[in-house]
Amino acid sequence: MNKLLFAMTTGLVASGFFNTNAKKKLYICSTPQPTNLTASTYAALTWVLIGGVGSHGEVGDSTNILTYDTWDDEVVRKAKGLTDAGSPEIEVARDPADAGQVVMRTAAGTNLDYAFKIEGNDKPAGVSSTPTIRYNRGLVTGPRVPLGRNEDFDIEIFSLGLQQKQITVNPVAVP
Amino acid sequence: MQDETLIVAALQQGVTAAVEQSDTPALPVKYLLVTGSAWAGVPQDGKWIELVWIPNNRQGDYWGDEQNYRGLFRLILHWPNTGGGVYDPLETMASITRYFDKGLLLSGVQITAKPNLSNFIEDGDEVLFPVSISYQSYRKGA
Repeated sequence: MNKLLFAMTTGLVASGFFNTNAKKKLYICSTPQPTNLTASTYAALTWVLIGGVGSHGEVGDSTNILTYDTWDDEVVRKAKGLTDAGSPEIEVARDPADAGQVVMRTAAGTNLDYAFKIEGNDKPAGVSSTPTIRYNRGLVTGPRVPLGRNEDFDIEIFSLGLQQKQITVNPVAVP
Repeated sequence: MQDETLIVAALQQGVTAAVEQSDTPALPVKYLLVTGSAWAGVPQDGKWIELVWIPNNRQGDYWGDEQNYRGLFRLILHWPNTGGGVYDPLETMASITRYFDKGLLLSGVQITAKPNLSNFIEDGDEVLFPVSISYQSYRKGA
């Protein structure tokens, strides 16, 4: 604890080290993207902000660990298998007129892959600086409508089937 | 504060419409913070409506600037305490608050529960009948 306090007071731990999800932004591109993209080709797409996002499920790569046990070894052998890019759920407060939600509903009606961008809330100072950005693309299904009790919100839940390894672009400070 | 302004305006306009369609369309309403020359004062018969706004907004539901506003808009019927019984003021209040059906939409503000009378309060020369209107409003923010 003393080491942490010392690090904070001497500036070794950056401020904003621990961020919440508040003020993050989720975008979708309304044009289907059938092939894997790079960070630069993702950045060149036209993005539509999805409004009313209340929750976004886990993203990132999850790789199977394969195991094989042999007669002559008491330790299980392991190897990496296939990677799943994730199938997060996106929960939004239903807004029939929200442009991003409209694209989501349209995408859910197709069997095509759509690109997504999650823009972080950690943009450094400077007009041209950029925050953490995560890109991926995949199928959109749903929306499911949980309805619920009297005081529950009218929400819709979309499920994504992401198709490529996630691309994460770190924040860039442009003074 | 633009969202709050729109919400209060919708609720106050709702009260205006509710009184107009009631059995007592001429009943004076003292709107929020309206005083001085803009408020004619307590009428001779001692019957009038006072408004109280009790916001109780939710925070942190969304990633962006969207917000769920909610709260109570209270209509307090002032009635002379002259021993005439409870039926007349209750019927007067019922004829006003029937306008606020559960689910009613007032310019993006939704009434979320049947108006709720929380007993009456004897206060000297008058009796107060407070009725709470529950509302919510989803706003997209900036």
